[in-house]
Amino acid sequence: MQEFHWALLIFITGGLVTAATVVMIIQGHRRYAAELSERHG
Amino acid sequence: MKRRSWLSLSGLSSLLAIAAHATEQEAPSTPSWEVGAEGFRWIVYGGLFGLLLATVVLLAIWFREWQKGKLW
Amino acid sequence: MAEPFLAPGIAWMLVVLFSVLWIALGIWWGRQGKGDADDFMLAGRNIGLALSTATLMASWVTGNTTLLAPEFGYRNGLWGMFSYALAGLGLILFAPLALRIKDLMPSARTSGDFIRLRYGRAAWWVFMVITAIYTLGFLITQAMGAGILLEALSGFDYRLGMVVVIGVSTIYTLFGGMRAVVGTDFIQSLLIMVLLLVVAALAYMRFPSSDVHQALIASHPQRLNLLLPAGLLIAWNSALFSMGEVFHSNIWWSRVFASRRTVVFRSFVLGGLGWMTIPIVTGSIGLLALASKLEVPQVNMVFPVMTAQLLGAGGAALVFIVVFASLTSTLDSLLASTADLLAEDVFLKLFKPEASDRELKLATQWMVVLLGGLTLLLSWPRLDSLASVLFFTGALVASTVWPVACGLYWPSASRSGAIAAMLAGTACGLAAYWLIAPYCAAVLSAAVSAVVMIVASRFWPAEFRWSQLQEEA
Repeated sequence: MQEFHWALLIFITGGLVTAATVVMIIQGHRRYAAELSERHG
Repeated sequence: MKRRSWLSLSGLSSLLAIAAHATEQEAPSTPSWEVGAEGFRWIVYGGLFGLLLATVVLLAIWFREWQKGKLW
Repeated sequence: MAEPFLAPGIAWMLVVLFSVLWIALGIWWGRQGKGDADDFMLAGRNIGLALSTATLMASWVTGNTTLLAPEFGYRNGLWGMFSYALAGLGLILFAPLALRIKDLMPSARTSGDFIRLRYGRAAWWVFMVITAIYTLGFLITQAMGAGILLEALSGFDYRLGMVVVIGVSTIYTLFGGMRAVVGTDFIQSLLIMVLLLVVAALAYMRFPSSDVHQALIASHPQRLNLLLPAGLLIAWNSALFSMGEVFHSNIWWSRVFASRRTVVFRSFVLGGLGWMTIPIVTGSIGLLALASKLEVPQVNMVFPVMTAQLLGAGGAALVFIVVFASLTSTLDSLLASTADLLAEDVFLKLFKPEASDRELKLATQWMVVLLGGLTLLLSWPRLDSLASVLFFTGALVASTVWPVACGLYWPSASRSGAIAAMLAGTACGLAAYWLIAPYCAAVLSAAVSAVVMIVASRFWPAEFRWSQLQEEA
């Protein structure tokens, strides 16, 4: 049981870090895409 | 980051925590979740089909760009 | 020693055939450009979608993808395959960044250029140390992999196999530059994909998936368990490791600069998606081997043994070609892009800013040769334990994910924030590697550097103007 909990903790941390990175990149990209479309009218 | 993304992140983490708690409750010994025959077939043949698709798509793009002389 | 899979005579014939082919094509493609430094380093900056996608896939398919991914499947079951496949995420997530890079820095040449202009010299030094350790580790493992694999497959002496693979990649990269790398990568990736398809299709025709599943349930049910602790541990590691590798390494940045602006986004998405199917297919062959109770001398030989069983001597020849193509296509990219980085960032920007175009090209060519020689020298003693050491570079490279991505999107990302994020991430990742488990090094490193980056940008924001990234060529 102990081993499983450790693994789960690391799994959740890894999932969260990955999700946060994905969110950060998508937000940055959206802002950038909006800027681009503004610039080109 | 905007509030929405913090919200979604905290939502996700609480979901994971609940899931973790649930698995803990249901199985007193080390929990397990085995993929069934159907799921296994999807994974194996899905991967194979994906590779076939990737190969065909790559060749198709190459052919189109080659015809237009736009490879590089 | 175990009997080699392939008769040495046939192996020699294949080596000579493909070596001549790669070198001839490399030289021919090298002559097509304008012949200046930019053309040599970045293939004229106008690569289309097909070649761009193929070169990403071929470079990302290392010797490991054909040999370690089946081992992951064999040892860790489904999670082994999935976690390996998640390394494709690095390429897919780099797609939006690639587009941004192309717009912000149209005339830049390397990832080092970006770090220097965005975060200054001090951050550049930290970055260069990280990338140097990573690149050397990568070069050595590929070179050692070449020696070990060719020895196991065809009975070649370890050093002979290594010299052949490094020698061939160095020669065609030296004469053809990035054009040779990209052109050969296209053929190499098609070879890998088609041959894998043939092997996997034949394998599953002989052993249908329901039989494999039944055998696994009976003898190794843990391999199908999605809550297997060992599987959960490694699940996200390769995703974050791969992001670290792709976001910082000049292998991928040079592909961005070399590709046409209109194709760069799609090529990273397509390349990543296409690549992800390869570890799934090779990993499932590992499971098939386990289910059919195949006897393997070493676990990383699952794929060659399986193929030789299914297809006889012809199969062994196919595996040999796949492995040879995977190794040369990765080594050529590593040599070319690292030579670019050293020539541009160290030779031109640090030592000789007034160097002419011709001198820069010559310097790049020298770097290719020097790197090839250095790799040969370092891999000569065959330190088998070194291969596992590559995993600790996960702690280093994962700390660059947030500094690079934030540097491209947030004007508030500051110099000291980036340096602190890289150092703190690396330190915590390394501590986790030794104190907790090797497989959480990348996760912890990325997590810590992300927190540092967010806090620093929130409380001590910089005000970066994007135009500062555009440097006169």
